[in-house]
Parts: sequence; structure tokens; C-alpha cells
Amino acid sequence: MRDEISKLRDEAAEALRSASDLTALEQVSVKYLSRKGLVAGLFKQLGKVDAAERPIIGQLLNDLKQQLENLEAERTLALKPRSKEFDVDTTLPGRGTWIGSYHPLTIVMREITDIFGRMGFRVADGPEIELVKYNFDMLNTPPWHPSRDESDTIYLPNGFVVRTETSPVQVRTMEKQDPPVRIISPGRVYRRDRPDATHSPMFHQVEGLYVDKGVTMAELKGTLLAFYKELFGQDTKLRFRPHFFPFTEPSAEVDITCPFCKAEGCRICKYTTWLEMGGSGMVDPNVLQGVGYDPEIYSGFAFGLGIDRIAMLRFGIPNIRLLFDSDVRFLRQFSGFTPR
Amino acid sequence: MLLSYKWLSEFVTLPVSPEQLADVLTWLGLEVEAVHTYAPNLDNVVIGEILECAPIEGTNHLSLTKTRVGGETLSIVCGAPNARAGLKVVAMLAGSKTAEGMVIKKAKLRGQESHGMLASEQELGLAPSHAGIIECPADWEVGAPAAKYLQDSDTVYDVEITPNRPDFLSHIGVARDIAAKFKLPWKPKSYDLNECVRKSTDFVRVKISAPVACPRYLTRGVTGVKIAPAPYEVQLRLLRCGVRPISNVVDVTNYLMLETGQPLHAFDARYIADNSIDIRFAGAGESFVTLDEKEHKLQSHDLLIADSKHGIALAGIMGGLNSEIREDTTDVVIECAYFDPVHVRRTAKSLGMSTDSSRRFERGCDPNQVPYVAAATAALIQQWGGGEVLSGVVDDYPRPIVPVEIAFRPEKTEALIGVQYDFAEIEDTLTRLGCEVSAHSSAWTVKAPTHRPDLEREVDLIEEIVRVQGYDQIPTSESSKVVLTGKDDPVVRLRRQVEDILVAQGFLQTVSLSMWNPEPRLDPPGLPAGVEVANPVTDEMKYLQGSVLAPMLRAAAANFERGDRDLRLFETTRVFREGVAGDPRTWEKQVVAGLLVGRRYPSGWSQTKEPSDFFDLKSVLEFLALKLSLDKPDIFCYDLDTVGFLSGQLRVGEQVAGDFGLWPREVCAARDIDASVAWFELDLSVLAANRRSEFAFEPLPRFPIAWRDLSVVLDHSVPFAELVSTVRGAAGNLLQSVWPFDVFVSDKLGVGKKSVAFRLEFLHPERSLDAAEVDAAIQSIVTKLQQEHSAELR
Repeated sequence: MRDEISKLRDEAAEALRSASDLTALEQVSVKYLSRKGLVAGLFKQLGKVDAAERPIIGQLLNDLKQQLENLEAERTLALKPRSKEFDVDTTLPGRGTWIGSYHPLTIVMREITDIFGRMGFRVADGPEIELVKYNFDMLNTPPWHPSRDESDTIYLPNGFVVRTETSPVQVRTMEKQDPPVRIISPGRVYRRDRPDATHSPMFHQVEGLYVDKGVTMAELKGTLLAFYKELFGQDTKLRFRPHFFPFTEPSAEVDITCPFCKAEGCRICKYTTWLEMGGSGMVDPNVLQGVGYDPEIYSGFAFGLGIDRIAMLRFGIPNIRLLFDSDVRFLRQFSGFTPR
Repeated sequence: MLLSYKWLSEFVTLPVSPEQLADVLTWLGLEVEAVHTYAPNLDNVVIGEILECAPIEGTNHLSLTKTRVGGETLSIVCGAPNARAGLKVVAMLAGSKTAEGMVIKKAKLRGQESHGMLASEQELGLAPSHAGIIECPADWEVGAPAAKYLQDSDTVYDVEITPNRPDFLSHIGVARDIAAKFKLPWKPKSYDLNECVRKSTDFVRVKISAPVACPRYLTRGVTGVKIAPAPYEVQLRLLRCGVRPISNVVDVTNYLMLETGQPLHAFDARYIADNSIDIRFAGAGESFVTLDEKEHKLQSHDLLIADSKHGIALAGIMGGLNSEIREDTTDVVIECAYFDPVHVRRTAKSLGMSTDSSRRFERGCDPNQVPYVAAATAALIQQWGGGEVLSGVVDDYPRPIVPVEIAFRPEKTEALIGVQYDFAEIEDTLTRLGCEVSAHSSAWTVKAPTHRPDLEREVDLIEEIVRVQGYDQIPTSESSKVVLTGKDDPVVRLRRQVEDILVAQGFLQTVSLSMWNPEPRLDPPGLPAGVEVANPVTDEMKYLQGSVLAPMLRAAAANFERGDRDLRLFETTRVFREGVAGDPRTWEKQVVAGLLVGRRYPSGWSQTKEPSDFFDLKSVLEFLALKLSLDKPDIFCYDLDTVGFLSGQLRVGEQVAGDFGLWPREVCAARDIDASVAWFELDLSVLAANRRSEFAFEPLPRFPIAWRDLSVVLDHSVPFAELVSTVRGAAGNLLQSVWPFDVFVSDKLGVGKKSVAFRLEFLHPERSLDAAEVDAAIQSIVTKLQQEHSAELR
């Protein structure tokens, strides 16, 4: 019985395929698929089959019938005279629609805020023109610190400063809110750097802050490691190097293993296998005190990273000016990204 | 700061190789920027003596020398300016190799045979110097292999010192941290001092008239010194550490500064009038010439070292030309002082000077190291230049600076870092760094050494412990606490949505510098310049932008020039204007701005080619308003006759969210754009403040909608909006919606006429409408349109 089914399938399929017009197809259909056709004939023999075999054979017959009917329907469509609507060159592309794109900095920034968002950091925002109080004084920047110099920082004639980092947002947030504070502040920052391939007087940062009871430097390390693993891959490693920042004590520079060569050494990490990502540390007690938090009760960590450099590394952009030139040949290359 | 491996190892037996030390320095917080290795190859290099030296005709710097190298005398061509007869030199003979790998051969230079090369430190790989050829001491033996005197290798680290660590500006300071890190014994260095009977106090008198700016001033005298070059190995060490050797006395001061971090100065005693020194503030406008021969006009906050007549040094910054050590100096007054950082910094800054001395005083030197360093100075001057060291010192130190006492709770280290630190280890580390620790109870008292002015608080000590014991000991722990501290900033959230909406509408997002300088004849009219900055980076960045539109048009023009003429650009940024004094938040607003120029549809094989216009702009705004669920948005357009070009305001609620419009070709032509450009700039905070927060589903109509199309001819001047309000007024409340589906102007309709076709949809919420009802409504609409607008049915 199985052989018969199989044989009939081959025979009928061949006949359906070779029918060259609708009349011929109709004849084939009658022969095999009509009520008195050959398939129906096989169904009639089902009674003679072993009771144990019967369900299986029955299933095979049903499949056969369905397959042949599908093939018949396909062939009918193919042999019918076609409507003009379908008489087109299908190799032409679609009509086209305007294709927008996110700026590479937005792509990277969103990825970063998304990761931190999943770790419970809220996005806070603040002004780009700042008071010296918020940009320097309350961040524990000593009066003599070179970052305050007019050669490094842009000022307005009235003494306002064009922010040099996004940490003033952290101070403003702490002033308004009691601990726990868990925020990141992404945004534009400004320095008096002449533009060249790696410097721009305007660039982008994300800074993070977590203040609560019992926050430790080990947690800072853990948070940053988790973040960089999400950003650059689970095999990323991180190290702290001692450094000095007025805002934090102790302070650390953060290095991660080069994600481009998997820490084997390449041009990007200058064969050191490490990439420097930014500063971090435990919020200086002076800063906590300045916003009215008791450093005997609360401690906190803070960190920062540069977005432009990450975007440049990520996409292999050789010159920072490309980011800010609004050249659509550059911008269009990023239309394949839909960030969260 | 350049640090020598050999020099460091004079204080502590370094347990690591020169290669490994770079990492050790990094882990102590000294960022190593470069490592220089000096390992001279002295094969076929000998000591020689120039017997004759004559310039070669037709060259401007070459000389032909006859140089004796042991038994024979060679002709050697030399280009160094200091080549001269009688000089002992280092001669590289044929077969020797320079540090750059060049093999020296016999050669003909400018027609002259040259049988070798007279070497500089650079060529031998001894030190980075281009000053000329090496001038060997007179007692070096001609013909001896150079290796006898010059086999001196070292590794030098160029490190960046953070501003909190003045002690790192010395070999002693760095060696101390290395010793603490490896728990190694300290090798103290002592200088033997042979004092004569005559006393320093009889030699010079000191008065401090400005005790706050100068808490300590110590001098010693050395008489009968012979000025000469310092020993060659000292010169080499100075060169390798970036200091030019000058003479034995001056080199002593530099040498000890690099060793101890204490800046020193040496005066020629002949030029200290009346042998009296007064440390006083300058008179306003007082003029002073420093030893770099620059004249400075001083202010009354500038501290001077003066004799009875005039200034002889700019305190802590640079000595005066009038009292510097000269070739014929014999009697030397050594200055070893502690100047207040704030005063030195102020003067250095206002005079625009930064010297090895000022950099150290600005960060804070150790006032209590002064006597030791002064004695070392005297000892070395005597050792290298002879003479007699006067006994004792003149030391003015009215209010001694004592170590800071810090209350320290050792368990706080674990609390802040998150890992346990052994108390005995803590005590050991602090002690090795020079602290005096009284660890008798749970509350310790720690006296921070005066060479560490950065140690003031408990947390500073914690940092030291963690740093010295290693940042790699800090574990990695992830918090499992749940911290819900609110939502993202509402404007930030809106900005993200605006970006999504405009990208979906085919706009490319740009990010551009928010500083610019207007070009009035080229930029579109009516845009604010913004806020002028006091110290712009360049002239092109004089203002924080008042609007991003003009910069965007410039960007569009650059793209146009490259042949990209279909542009849809947007940017979310900030614009600036003067606000409330004292509140910078009122000086800026966050905006989204966009430009639209070129075709309406992207070029393709089946798209129509007409240019986009004002109504394409309006659809973008309508889309944005809808997608942002703005509350009662009104895209209000100005009367063209009043404004002069197509433009309007987006209003939401009671507020104005921003402007939009179409710059005509004439405006854009200034930027070589031969098209009109549509634009908008909207205030994100206003948009964020006017969003509908509530939404309720409306039940679907239970009865069918009845619709009719009407087409009327009327005066071109009648706005569609008026037509709609007439229609609504006449139709009654069955009318659901009305929208135009065809509008055209043609003279065939009559001069100044247009045709407007629109669809009307009618609905009754509770029953089916019958045709008669709808027809009646249409009839009254037609009548009303005729009455009010003389509109005729087509």
C-alpha cells in the first residue's frame, strides 16, 4: 500500500506539472483527484489494510491528497492568463522612502543610558551654562586648579562658566534630593581646546553618581565592570589605577581590556592591551558636606566617561570632526541603527 | 618629571627591573608617559683631543679638526659649534655605531677626509642633547677607551605628577613610596660637611618682612669657590632628567632639587648690597630683571628677595640677572626657603612664568627639610668647587609648621573600600610613608609628615593605604539593593521621542558645535546671535548660539556643494540668550530644530520630482504634534503680507513652542543654495510641559458614516480655515470631519479664483442618517458658502 501511494504521488505530481494549459490540467485533475479518481480509489482500499496499520496509511493518504490539491492550485494560478498588474520587472528596487538616521553619538549614548537604566540609574539633566559654584567650588576643585584657568575653560563676561563636565548636575541633584541618589548625567561639555583630529572644544560625557549608606569602592568597581561588560562584551576585564581628582578620594582611572583585539595588543590600545576609559572614585567628603549630606552616614561613588571617544572607537571613526560636521555622507552610514 | 632608575635606587634597593619599574610607578599613581633607555655602545670610541680646528671654506658650520686619539692624529670633520682646539672630546672611530644605528666609516665630507666623528651625548646614546659635542674633563686620558669614563647606563621615566603630590617632584619622594610598597628598608643619604670657623651669621643678614608669604628663609655661605663644570656623571644625570648643566654651583642647586624636591638658589655674594637680605613685597610698578633677561613690572603682591637696594630674586620663581653666579664668582650665598604656595602661584600666574622652582613651591614643599638640603648644598658645592663652608646657618623660621594630626579610625577603610584591611598592615603602611601613628585605641592619631601636605583628613589616609597596598586588591562587588529614585528627566524623555519621530520621518540627526559667529550678510535674517563668551576658543566661536538654524543652513550649504541637495536634517541641542542674573538655567533652552530642502520624495524610478515646500513642513509639525500627544497644538501661520515670508508659530496650550517657516531662494542664495529651505525650531521644555497625559478610547460608531464631496470655486484670498469654519457653522452637529482633497488655482476658473474640493463626513451617534438629512445639511452649507464667500458650486 505504501508503495502504491508513493508511486501515485510521483506519477500524479509529474502529470500536474507537465499539464501545459488549463484544459490539460483539468483532465489530470479528473483522473487523479475527482471523486472517482485514482486517489479516491486508494482510499477505498483502506478497509483492507491491517487494523494496526490503518491509521498510518490513512494519514499518508490524507497527506497525498493535500499535496496534490496544493499542486493543482499552484498550477491553475500559473496557467491562468495574468492580470497586467503583475507584468512588472521585479528586479527594480522599492519606490523608496526617506530614510532617517540617528547620530552615532545618540546611538552610543542611548546604549549607555539603557545599560545604566537597567542598573537603576536615572537620567538627570542640567544647564550647559553654569555657576562657578557648581562647576568647580562644590566639586572641591581647589582655587588654584588649572582647570579653572581661562586658558582651559570658557567663561561668559559675567563670570558664568560654560560647563567643563556634567558633574554640576550631580551637585544640583544632591541639593534637591536626599539620598539615595542614583543618577547618570549625559550631555555636552566644553573646554578651550583648539579643534584637531582628537580634540574638540565641545564633546560629550556621561557621569554617574550613587550616594547611599554604606556605598563602597568595591561596588564602584563592580558597577563599572558590569557596565563595560554589557557595552563591550562579557569577557571584558577592568582595572583601577590610582589617580587624583578633586571630586573624589580615593580616585581611580578606569582601564578596560581592549575589546578590539581581545587584549592581544593592537593599534587602538597601542599594544598595551588596555584602554583608558575615564575617571572614578569615592565622592570626597567635602562634596557631600557641601550639599548637606553627612559623610559620617553616607558615602558614594562617582565616575565619568567620554562618549565621543567610545563612538569613534566603536565605529572606527578616525577624526572627531566628522562627528560635528553634519556631512550627510557620514550621517547616512548610520541609518541601519535603531537604538532603544 | 623625569625619574632616573639609578637615582631612585640610591635610596631603596629596587626589587624590580627597569622595565618592571614602569608598572610599579603606574600602580603608585604616577602615569608613565615615556620610558627612555640610555645604554651607550662604546666600541671603537676613544677619548681624543682637538689639536687644530679650522672652518672648512664654503660651509657655514663645518670644521676640519686634527684630533689626537692616543698614538695617532686623525682628520675629523665636525659640525658642532663648540669644537675648538685644546678641547678633549669623545671620538667615534671607524666601525663604531651611533645610538641611531649608523656605522661610522671613513668618508669624504666637502672634499675633506674624515676618519671618524666627534660625538655628542645624543650620538652615543648617553642623553638627549643637541648642544654640541661632549666637552671632556681635562684629566681624562687621551687615547683611553671611552668606556673607561662613559659606561653609564640608566633608564629614565617621564611621569605625569598629579597636582596633589609635591613630594613626587623628587627622587626621594618617589623612592619613599616604592620602599613603602615593597616594605623595603630606606637607605638614608648623608653629605659630609666640613665647616670652617667663620660663621654664616657674620656673612649675611636676613630679615623677613613678609612672614606669611615666606614662613622660612635659610641661608648658608660658601667662600672661595672655583666655578667650573660639575663632574661629568652629574652633568649626564642632569641632562637625562631634563636639566641643562651650567656650572658646578648652579648644577648643585638643580641636582638637589631633583633629588629632594627643594628648590634652591645661589647668589654671588658680591652682588648682595650690604650683605643684607630682606624678603619683602615689591613696590607697585617696581621693575625686576630675572636671569632669563626678561624685565617684569611687579605688583605689590609679588614677593621679592631684596638686598638693601633692590630685588635680587623673584621669590620661589627665578633669580635675578644682577646676582647670578658668574664665571668669576667665589663667594656664594645659598638660599633654601619655604615660600607659601598661594603667593608663589599668584605671582607665577600673573607674570605668566612657570619654572621648576615655582611648580614645586606652588604644590607645597617640605619646610622642615630645609636645613638638611641647605647642608647638602654646601657640602656638594665644596666637593665640586672647593672653598670653605661657613659654619652654621642663618635660619629665620618664626612660626614652625608642625605635622597635621589626623584622627583615624582604621575600620573606616573597610567601610569605604568594601574589603578588610589588616590593622597592623595599615599602621605599617602609614609609618613607612612617614606618618607617626599612635595606634593605642580604636581611635588612632596619625601625624602626617610635612612633606605630604595633601594628607589632611581620614579619607586621605584611607586613600594612601589602598594605593600603597594596591588598587588591584579592591574586589568587584555588585550591589543588590533596589534603588528607585524617580524617573528620567522629562525633557530628556521627550527629546528621545522627538528623535525617534523625526528619524522615522526620514530626518538625519546632526550634532554640531553650539558656538558660532554670525555672518550677517550670509546668514538668514532675524536670528539671534546668542550669548557672547569672554574667551572664545577661536573667532568662529564667539557666541554660544542663539539659534541653531543658521549653523544648520551652513551645514546644508556644505552638503549642497558636495551635491547632496535633498536634505532633511534635525538636531536636538541648546540655544542661549541672556537670562536672569545669577541663574544660568534661564540663559538657555533645549530645542529641536530641523531643515527641509530638495525633493518631496526621495529620487527613485517612480517618484514624482516636485520640490518640497511649506506644506511638507506643516505635515512634519502635524505629525510631531500628534505623536507627542501635544495638548491642543495650533500650527499658526503669519499673514504673508506682514511678515514677508511663509512662517508661523507652533502654539501649545497658552505657550509658544517655537517658530517655523520657509526661507525663500533669495535668502538661501547667499549660501549658494538655489532652493527655498523649510525650517523649524521648537522649545523642548514647552513641548514637555504641554502633553496630554490622559487618553480614553472612544467607542467605535455603531452607525455608518455618510459622506459627500463638495467642490466650490471662490476667491483665491479666502483661507481654507475660514471655509471650514463657515462649513462647520452651517452644517450643524452631525458633521464629523471635513478635509480638503483638491485645491487648485487656474485662470479658467476666473481671474483670482481657486477651486477647493473637500469631503464632509456626517454621523449620528444613535441612529442611521437618511440621505435627506445629509442633503439638507449640504444645502445649508452651500448657501452659507455662497453668502459669506461668494463661493459657487463647480
